[in-house]
Amino acid sequence: MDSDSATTHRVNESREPIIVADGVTKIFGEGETKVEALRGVDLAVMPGEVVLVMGPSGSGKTTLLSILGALLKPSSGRISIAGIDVTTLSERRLPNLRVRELGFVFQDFNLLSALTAVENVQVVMDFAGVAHAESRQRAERLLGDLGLSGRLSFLPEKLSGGEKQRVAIARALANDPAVLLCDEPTANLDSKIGHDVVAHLRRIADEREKAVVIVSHDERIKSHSDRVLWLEDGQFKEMRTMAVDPVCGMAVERETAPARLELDGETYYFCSRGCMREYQEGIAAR
Amino acid sequence: MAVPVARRNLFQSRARLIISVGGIALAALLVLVLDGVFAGSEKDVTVFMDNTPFDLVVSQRGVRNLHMTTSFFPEQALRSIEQVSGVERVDPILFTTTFLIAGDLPTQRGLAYLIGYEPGRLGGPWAWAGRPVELGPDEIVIDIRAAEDFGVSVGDEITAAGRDLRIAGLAEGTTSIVNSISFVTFEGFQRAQGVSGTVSFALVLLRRDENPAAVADRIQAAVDGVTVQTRADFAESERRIVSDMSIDIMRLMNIIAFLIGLSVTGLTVYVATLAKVREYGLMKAIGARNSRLFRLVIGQAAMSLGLGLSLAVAVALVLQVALGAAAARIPMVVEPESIARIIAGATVIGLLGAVIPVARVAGLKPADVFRR
Repeated sequence: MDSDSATTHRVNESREPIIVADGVTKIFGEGETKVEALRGVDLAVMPGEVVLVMGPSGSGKTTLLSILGALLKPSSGRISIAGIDVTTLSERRLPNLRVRELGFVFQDFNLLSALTAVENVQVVMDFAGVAHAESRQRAERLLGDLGLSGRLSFLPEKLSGGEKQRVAIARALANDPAVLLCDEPTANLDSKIGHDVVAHLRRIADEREKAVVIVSHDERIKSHSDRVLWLEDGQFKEMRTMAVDPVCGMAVERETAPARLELDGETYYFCSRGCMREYQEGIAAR
Repeated sequence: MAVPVARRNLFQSRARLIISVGGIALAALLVLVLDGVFAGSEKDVTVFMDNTPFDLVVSQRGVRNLHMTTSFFPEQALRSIEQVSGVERVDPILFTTTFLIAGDLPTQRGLAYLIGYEPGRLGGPWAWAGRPVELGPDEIVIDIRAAEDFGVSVGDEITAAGRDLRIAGLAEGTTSIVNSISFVTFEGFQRAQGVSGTVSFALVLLRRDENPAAVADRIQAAVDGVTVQTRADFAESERRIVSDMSIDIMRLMNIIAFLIGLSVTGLTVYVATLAKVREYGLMKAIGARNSRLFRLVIGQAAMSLGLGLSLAVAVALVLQVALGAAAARIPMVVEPESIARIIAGATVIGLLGAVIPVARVAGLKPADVFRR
C-alpha cells in the first residue's frame, strides 16, 4: 500500500494545521561524532488527521516525535503547536504546553507503576491544576469510553498490554490536548489488540478532532491513517513499495529487502536472513 | 487533594517498603540502643550518689569522687562539721575499692566499692533483693548480680579486703558498668582495713531551706584538710572520671554507630529515590514541573524518614521497658536528647540523600522517555 491509497479518511482541510514543522533540522554531537538526525523536515498536520511516519530504524522518527512533543529543541527550523511557536518558548513554559496541548502514547506504555489506572489518568490533570473531584470524574469517563470501567482501581501490573495502552491513551487525552503523539503504540501488543488500539486512535481523531501523529513500523496502521510519510536519513522521502516480513511483522522495502523468497508463485520479503530461515523452517515442519 | 504519588510509591511494594522504612528504622535503632546503653551505663555509675539522700559530702582534701580514690580524714572533724550552722546531721562512711573473691575461678572475682556504714544511718544499701538484714561486723551485703555471677548466695562466705565475710543479704541495683557496691558495717570495715579514728567521707544532711553551696563554704572554712561538695557535684565528678577512664570506648562506638546510622539512612533514601528516576523523567515528559517533582521526592523521603524513625523510637522504648522488666545486665535508658539527636541527624542526612538524586531529576531530559 502506498501513501496515496492510505488517504481514505475525511480531514477538515478548511481549518489551520494544528502542528507545523518548518525546515526542522536536528544535529547531535559535533565534529567527527556529529549526527544529522533531521534535515529540513516540513510537516503540517490538521485537526482530525492521522499521520503515520514510517522509516527504517535510525531514520530520525523518534527525534521528530520528540521535537514535535516539545521534549527536544530543534537545531534550526520552527515548530508550532496550536498556534504557539514552541521553538521560542522558555523551558519554564514548556511543561504547561506539554500538559495542555500534547498527549503522549508510548511503546512501553510508561504508566506509573504505583498508581491505579484511574490515578494514572488523573495525575496529568493534577499537573494542569484540575480539581481532584473533577479529574476523578473525567478520568473515569475517559477510561469508560475506552472500555476500562471495570479496571479503574487496577495497578498497571494487573492489566494486559492492550489495557495498559488504553490507559495510556486515556492519560494522553486527559487534558483534552490538540495533538496525540504516539511512539510505536502497537509494538508490544498482539495483532488483534494492536488493531483495537489503532482503531481507538482513529476514532479519537475523528470524533474529537485530534491530530494524531504515529511513528511505527507496523504496516497495519496504514489503513487507519490519512497520510503515510516515509522518513529516511532525516528527510521525508517518497513512500517506497513496502511489504510485511511474515515472521516479525516489520515493514520492509521490496527493492532493498535483505532477503526474499519465491514460494508457490508468491514473493515474500524479509527484514533479515534469520527471519527468512525461520520462515523456511516453519514451512518444512508443517 | 492531588493523587498521592509519594505515598503510593512508598507503599507500592512490601519489599521496597521494608527496605526503605526498615533500613532507616534499623539504622536509627542501632543509634538509639547504643545511646541508651551508654546513657544507662553512665547513669549506673552514680548509683550510690543517686540513691543516698545526703546534701553535701566531705572528703579528704582534693578527693572529689569514689572511683579509684582513697579518702581519709580524722574522725574528730565530724564534730566540727556538725557544729557548722545549717548542718542537721553528719553520717560517716569508710570506703575503699577492693576485689570480691568467691572462689578460684576467674568468674568468681570482681571489682567492688566496699562501703563501711553505721547501720541505721546513711551510706548503706537502699534496695534489697529479699529481706533487709541487720549486719554484724563479720558480715557483708553484696549485689545480687555479683552473687549470681560468683555463684554464691546468702550464708556463703566471700573474701573482701582480705577478710572472709559471711554474706548476710543481697542488695539490688548496685551494679554499674565498672563494678558493684558491697556494704559492711563501719566496725567491720575498721577491722578489715585496720583503721581507726578516721573516716573516708562524711555524708551531710542540711537543715530545711538551707542553701547547700553556702553551707559547703562554711564547712570548708571551718574544717581544715577537707573538700566539700554538693551531691550533684560529687556525682558529676564520678561520672566524668569513670567516663574518661571506661566509657570513652563506648562513646567512640556510639559516634561510629551514629555515623553509620546516618550513612545507612542517607543511602536508603538515595536508593529509593533513584529507583524511581525513570518515572520522574516520564512525569516530566507528560507535563510535571520540576517543583512538583521536588515536592514528590522530598515528600516520599520525609514519609520514609517519619515512619522509619517512629518505628525505631517505638522499638527502642519497648526494648528499654523489656530490659528493665527482665532486670537485664545491660542498662538502657532512651533519653529525649538521644531521640532528638537521631531525628535531627537522620532528617538532615535523609533529605540530603533525596536532594542529591533530585538534582539528577532536575537535569533529566524528558525526551529520554522515548529511549528503549
